[in-house]
Amino acid sequence: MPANLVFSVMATAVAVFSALELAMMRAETPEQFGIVVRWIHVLVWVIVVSLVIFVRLYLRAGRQWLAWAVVGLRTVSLILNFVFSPNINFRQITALRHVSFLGEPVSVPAGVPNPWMLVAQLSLLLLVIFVMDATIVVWRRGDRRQALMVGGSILLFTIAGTVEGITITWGIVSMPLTASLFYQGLVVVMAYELSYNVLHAAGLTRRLEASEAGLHESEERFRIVANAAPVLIWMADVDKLCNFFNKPWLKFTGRSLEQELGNGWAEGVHPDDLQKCLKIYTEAFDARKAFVMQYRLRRYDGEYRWVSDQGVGRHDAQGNFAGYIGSCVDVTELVNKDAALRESEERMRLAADAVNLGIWEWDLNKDEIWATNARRALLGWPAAGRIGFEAFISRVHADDRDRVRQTIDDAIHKGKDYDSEYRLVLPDGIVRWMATRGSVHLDINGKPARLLGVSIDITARKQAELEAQQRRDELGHLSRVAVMGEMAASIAHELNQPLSGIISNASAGRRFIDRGDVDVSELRDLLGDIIADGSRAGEVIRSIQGMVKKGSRVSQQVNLNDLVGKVLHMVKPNAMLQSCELNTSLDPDLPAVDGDPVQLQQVLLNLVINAFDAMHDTPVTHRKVVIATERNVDGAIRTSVRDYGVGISEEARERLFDHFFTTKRDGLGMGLAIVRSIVESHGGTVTGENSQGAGAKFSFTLPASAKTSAA
Amino acid sequence: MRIPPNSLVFAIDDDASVRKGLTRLLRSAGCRSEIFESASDFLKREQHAGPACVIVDVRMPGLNGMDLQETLIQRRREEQLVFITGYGDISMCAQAMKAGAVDFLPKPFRADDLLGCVERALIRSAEQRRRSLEEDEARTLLGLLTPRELEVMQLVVTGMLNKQIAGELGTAEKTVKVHRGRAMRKLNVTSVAELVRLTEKACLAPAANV
Repeated sequence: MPANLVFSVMATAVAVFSALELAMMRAETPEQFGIVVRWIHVLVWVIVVSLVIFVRLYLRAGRQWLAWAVVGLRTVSLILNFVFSPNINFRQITALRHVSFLGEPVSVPAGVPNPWMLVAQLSLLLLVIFVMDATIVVWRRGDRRQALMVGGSILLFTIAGTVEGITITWGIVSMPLTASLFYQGLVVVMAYELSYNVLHAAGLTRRLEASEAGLHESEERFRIVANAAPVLIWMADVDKLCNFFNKPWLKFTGRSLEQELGNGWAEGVHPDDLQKCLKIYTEAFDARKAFVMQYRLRRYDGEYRWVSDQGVGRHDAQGNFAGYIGSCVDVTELVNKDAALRESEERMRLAADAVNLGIWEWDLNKDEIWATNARRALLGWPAAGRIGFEAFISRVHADDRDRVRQTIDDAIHKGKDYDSEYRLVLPDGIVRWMATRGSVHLDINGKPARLLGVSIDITARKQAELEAQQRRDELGHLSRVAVMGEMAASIAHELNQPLSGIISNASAGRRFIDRGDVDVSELRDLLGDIIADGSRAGEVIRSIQGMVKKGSRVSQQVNLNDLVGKVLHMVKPNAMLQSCELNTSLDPDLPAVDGDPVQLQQVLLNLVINAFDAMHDTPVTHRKVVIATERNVDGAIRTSVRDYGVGISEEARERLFDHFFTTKRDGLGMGLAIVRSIVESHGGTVTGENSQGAGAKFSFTLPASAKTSAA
Repeated sequence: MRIPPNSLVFAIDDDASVRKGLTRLLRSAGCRSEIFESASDFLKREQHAGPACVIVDVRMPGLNGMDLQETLIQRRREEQLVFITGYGDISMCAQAMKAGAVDFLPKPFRADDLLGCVERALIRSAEQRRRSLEEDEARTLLGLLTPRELEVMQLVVTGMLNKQIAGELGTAEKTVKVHRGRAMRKLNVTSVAELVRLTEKACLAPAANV
């Protein structure tokens, strides 16, 4: 340690310096004193140079040029010291005075000071500046203790020694030179500082030993953890050879540690994966990079399992590369799942394409629609590129646009599922019916972020539906015509009554005129009756027209009591012709239903006519039909027609509402089938059952109108 | 139109228009008429003494036209029936005609047809009435005879001689003669031919058929 050498030199110099100071105090003659002072400068030079070197070496601070300046100037002053006589301090020492110092008689000089002495004193000043600068550097470096202790005390003692020397040599005070005391203080401080380092080093050594013991302990702990971990762990040394495998690894492969060590582990890797595996391992190792690889590793039972192996470099406490550590997880299930997922996605896409199912997603924030390629192609959109909502809605049939917008709006703002059927107008002008279903997905703030759904081309279904509807309408119409046929007697009767009235009245009128016996007021009444009968006949015709006219279904609020009234009027003649009693039992405050009045009238008419027909063989006195309306507990409205006829036979019960099933000799078997189709298209149900006593009761139940009825 | 004196036409129909029209038509033809809404209402009325015609709808609530016809026949009434119907069927028509209806008219009927029927019906009713009066008269006269005289008369109208009658009755020819003379006086007839006409009026069959 050079600092220690410097310290030794300096300590020796200080000791000699003290001895020379003593010699100065005991000097007998001025010449003697002068010589001692001359030699003392040699020691000052040694002390100054030692200090400069100590600061530079030990504190690793101080400007180099200042150091050189201090040493240079001191050397110059030393040379001047030997040039001048007696020394650099005095031109001439005239006498020695004897003063008492601490109770001892000592010699102090009296003489002419040498102005060249300033050079020596300047060098000491430079030394102070050099040390001050170095101390500041050390302080700033963070070694505050060192700055205060070493830098501070060097400054303090240097300044004190210098000031004493100056004041004495310039004859300002009269006392012996005792600067060695200050330099001894310096020596003590330096000695402490140097020994502090030794002590510190000893402490560090102890700590190091302790930490090494801890290292062993932590390595042991690592082994325990590694063996308990549910993953396979390996470690490799810097030479790429593996030097550790945890117990789960050995259990997994079913091999011993000795077998696995080094490159033994590679034997368990599936031959197809080995090359790739080794390549990744070596390359990552050489580049000191972390790596992840998947390969098949043979399990104890011989089955190759997919493992995901992650390796990272490991470093010792000093940060030196110490090899690799890695962990493996059995990902066979995941890999299979992954493959299954890919497969299922592919299957899904194929299925979607096969049934022309489109999958789409609309990003609400970016207004960007993603859709499967088939769907984009259908809509004439390029395979790539941004598609916004407006681009989509512009393809929707103009008549459906507002409705679609509204449905989507509801879906977004009310969180309803989006379910809609609409028409698309394709670029070539062809109109296709689409059904789409979707739901809104919220972002983490609960705000709607995406609309996700599927759409399917339902054009064929829609066409079939339309055709079916047309067929139903036609069938309904035919059935109504057929009912009118069954009611021919009744209708004829209905028409013949007013016609008889008209003819009778008109004939009577002509006779009155012919006889010349005209009572004007009588004639007026007579004509009034003719008009009334004419209107009545017209009414009958209109009601028939209403029943037999073709037309698509309308929906309006219908009060079933009114409907019963209308049907009653139509079938009254029938009832009479068959001597059948016709009663009603109506709920006076019946809510309306939504429906087509003509179709519902057809339902009731069919049921009533069936009731009549069921009583062909019933004695006249027992023939009775009761039409009732009532409200069910659930608010639905039930209308029933009860007869006292033959009832429903066991074999007929099953097929009651089937098409072409009839028990009538000349029946078509359409009546009840149409009744059911109409009632069901109105969201209702129809039932037929035998009544207690005799006969059957047919009822149809319709939901009450959602709108509050004005009636 | 020839309407027998004191004749009355009844019209029964459940339809107000038809009733009103019929009333006017009958009045225009100079017929007295009464209208009823139902057959049972009509039956509550006492029987008209003069010639009567009933226009009735076959199909009506309650008692229908056919029921009415049956009732009238049971009660031996002489009203002549004219059926009208809104929807006639042949079997009913045949049944009605067999039971003595004047005619069966489908609605809407021609006024002249109906009035023609009414006329025929009234004439038939008047005739019926006259015949039934004569029968009553004959029956009254025959009622004056003693049983033995009636027995003898019944045999006389078969064309038997007194001697044959006496043999038939196991009595003397002279006794038969006495009974026959007394009966002829009571019946106010002078010849066998008159006696035969009288018994025919009284609808008495010859004794062999009794």
